[in-house]
Amino acid sequence: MNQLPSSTSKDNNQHLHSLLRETAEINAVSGMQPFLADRIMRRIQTLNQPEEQLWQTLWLAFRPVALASALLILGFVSYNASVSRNYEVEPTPTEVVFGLQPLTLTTAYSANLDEFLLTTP
Amino acid sequence: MTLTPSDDTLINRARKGDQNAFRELLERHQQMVARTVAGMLGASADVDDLVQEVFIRFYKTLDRFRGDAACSTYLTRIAINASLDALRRRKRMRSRFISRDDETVILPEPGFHDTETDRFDRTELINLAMNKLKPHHRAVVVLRLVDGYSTAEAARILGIPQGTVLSRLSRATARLRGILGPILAEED
Repeated sequence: MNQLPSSTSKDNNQHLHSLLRETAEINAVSGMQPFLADRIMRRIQTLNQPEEQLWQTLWLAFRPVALASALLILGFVSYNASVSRNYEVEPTPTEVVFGLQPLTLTTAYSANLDEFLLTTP
Repeated sequence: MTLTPSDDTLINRARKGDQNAFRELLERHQQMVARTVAGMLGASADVDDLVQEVFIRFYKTLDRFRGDAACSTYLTRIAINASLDALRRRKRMRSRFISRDDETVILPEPGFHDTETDRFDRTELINLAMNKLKPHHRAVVVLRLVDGYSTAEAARILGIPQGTVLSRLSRATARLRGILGPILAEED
């Protein structure tokens, strides 16, 4: 007596099982685009070198600016160096690079207060 | 005669940077992953993106794969977790932008007539019925009924006790039978 409902229930399970599986297969086929493996492999290849790629992109974009800035700085330094040769006292390397007047006791105490007052509004 | 390399051999080669080995793994398991993801998400354009995501996650975690479980089981676990994340995101989106179409979908109630069944394509009806299940119940149904894993394997994949798998499966199949009753009865 109990055999019949049990086998019916088993059949129902089997049927539900096959329906769900079949639907999942249909959904998988309809939801997938072609060349999946190619697309994934391409993503993996870009995944391997993201930092290198970023650095290369930045370097390519800013290379002209970096070169121009380096030339400009070199020009200023060489100009300052040539000007600093005329100073009476030997300047320090910092003073040479930035084109500063060498600070001596004479220059420190030679501040003219009258000139300062005249130039201050 | 050339022997087909096992998944473990391919994984070891892929770990050493052999991309052809990873590609072979991918081609071997892509149908299975697609079926699992499609079972979880239904007919959706997200399936393709998510399958890609699963294999990218797999690639990133190749070093963590210890070989305790089969490669297919490991991939299924990633696919289920990725799908549950996607369903959560989808739910958040829906709560922000409630679609009128979703509201107007009328699922046939149990005991409806055959003429009403005709209005629904069978696949569409099954997708609607699956959508009515909670995501965790859906995961159990997909693992047990679609992918054919045993209760113990499904429990291991989901990280839950076997009893929970059985109770979720029982509730989910009862709900599905309620909705799909006419289809199931029709073809018996």
